[in-house]
Amino acid sequence: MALTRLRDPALVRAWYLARSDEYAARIRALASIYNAAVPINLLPPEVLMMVFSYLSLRIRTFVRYLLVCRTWTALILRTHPFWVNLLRNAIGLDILGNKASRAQYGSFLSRTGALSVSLSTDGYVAELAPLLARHARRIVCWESRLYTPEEVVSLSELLAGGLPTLQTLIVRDAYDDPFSRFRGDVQEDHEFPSFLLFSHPLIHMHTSVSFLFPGICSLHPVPSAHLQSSSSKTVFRGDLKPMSPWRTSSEPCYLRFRDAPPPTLLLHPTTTRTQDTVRCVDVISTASASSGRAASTVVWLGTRLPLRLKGGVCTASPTHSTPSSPSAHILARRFGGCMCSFLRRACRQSNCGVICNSDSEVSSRWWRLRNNPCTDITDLS
Amino acid sequence: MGDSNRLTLVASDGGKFVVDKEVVQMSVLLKNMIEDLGETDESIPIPNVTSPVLTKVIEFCENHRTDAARTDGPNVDGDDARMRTAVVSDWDRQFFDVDQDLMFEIIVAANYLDIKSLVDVGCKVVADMIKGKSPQEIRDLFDIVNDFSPEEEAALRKENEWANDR
Repeated sequence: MALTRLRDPALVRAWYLARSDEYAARIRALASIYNAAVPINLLPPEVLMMVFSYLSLRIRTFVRYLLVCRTWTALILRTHPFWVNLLRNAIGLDILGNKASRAQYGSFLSRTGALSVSLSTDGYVAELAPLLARHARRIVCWESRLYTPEEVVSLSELLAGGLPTLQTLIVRDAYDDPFSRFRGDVQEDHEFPSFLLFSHPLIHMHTSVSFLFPGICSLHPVPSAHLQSSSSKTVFRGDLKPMSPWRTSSEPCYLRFRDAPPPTLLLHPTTTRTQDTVRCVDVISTASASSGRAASTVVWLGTRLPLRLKGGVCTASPTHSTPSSPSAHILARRFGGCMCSFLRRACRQSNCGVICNSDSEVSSRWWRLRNNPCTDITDLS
Repeated sequence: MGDSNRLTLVASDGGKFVVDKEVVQMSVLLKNMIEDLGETDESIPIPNVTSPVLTKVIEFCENHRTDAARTDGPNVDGDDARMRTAVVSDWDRQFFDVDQDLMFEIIVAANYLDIKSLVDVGCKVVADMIKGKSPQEIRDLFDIVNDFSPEEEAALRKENEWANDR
């Protein structure tokens, strides 16, 4: 009876398929047993997890490590530093573009356990906030390229909502970043309401011209200034010192502007008489040492606004230098001649920094600068 | 014998090694053991470690005895603080230029004896071997076989491959 049934091709095919699946599953089970006995998998799990934590990862290729064998997959999913490393290197990706990538970002973030994380994003959307809120107490570094004023507003809201352990904030104007996904023409009047970001309580304004050279040198502080919006309406005028301890939300936020374009920062009359009009503001902020919370809060805001500063009235004193900070690598651009000689002097004194005056120059130097704070100074005068 | 600055270690196969106390104490396990035992002339058995492996472990500790103080510094345990760069010195790389079985046995022994710096270097060397390879290349390297079904592999890819690339 059974033999006659085997003559039916359809039955034979069904029998074959059922059996081959079953045998394949058995072979895989055998393979797992075999894998458990290969030398590398005889390492204690915590040691193998340490190996995984030393892998340098790229978000487009890391999945290969999950596909080696079941043992590895299970361990990697539990190796928190693996995911910390992954997220640290995620800049350059549009992680926020769609719902799926946001959800995926959230699940990667969950796999970092209770470790501190440094996050990088290309762009920012408000939809990310609820996802980040769960991890707010672990975010120590935030790095973003921002494309639009709306993104600045959203990010500033995130900061206002509180990232209590944030130590480093790096915000780049995507149009100035040669590695951003933006490849179109830039409107000359593109401007960021960068000052919005200063509402974060851990961020101190370090008010001096050194904001042109974050992380490299501190110039003598400018004692006072007034801020002027584009409509020429004076928004703030006076002593800048009150902004230094400006840490708590109960204090007035002088620099909170919602009307783009951002204000013009006019320096103290002693310098403004020489037309020292700074319209481009790269700002360094350092948390005061006395706060005891964040010794290295750094804000680096780049805008592509034209910068004019004439006279070179400031003298440099290299009192502040954090070589490990990304902000130690500076690209200053679009400067006029007098500004260049001033910047060059500052560079020499701080033994670090570079001046570029064209986009291609910026691009070609970018990588070297990221990895190697150098003393290469281009003479632009 | 009788030299209070030297100790005798006995490997699982009976091999005896006379080693400076300072070197032995790079192993947290043995350091604690010595402290608990007090001054003794007795040799210390290392039942889980064979002579060839113990020879290598001692070689590493002899070479790194001077930087022991550095590894005791803060942040050694700080998982997040430790920058995970797989930088390995030439000497260490040379040290691990042995067959895979011995390499993993050294790491297992170092883990058992609690010699942090050796475990660390071993892990970096292994990470370096894995770096940049495809799953199949990694399997070939370590004699691992693929135990995923095509469906499982597809699911893992779907879950982890960057959403924007799909």
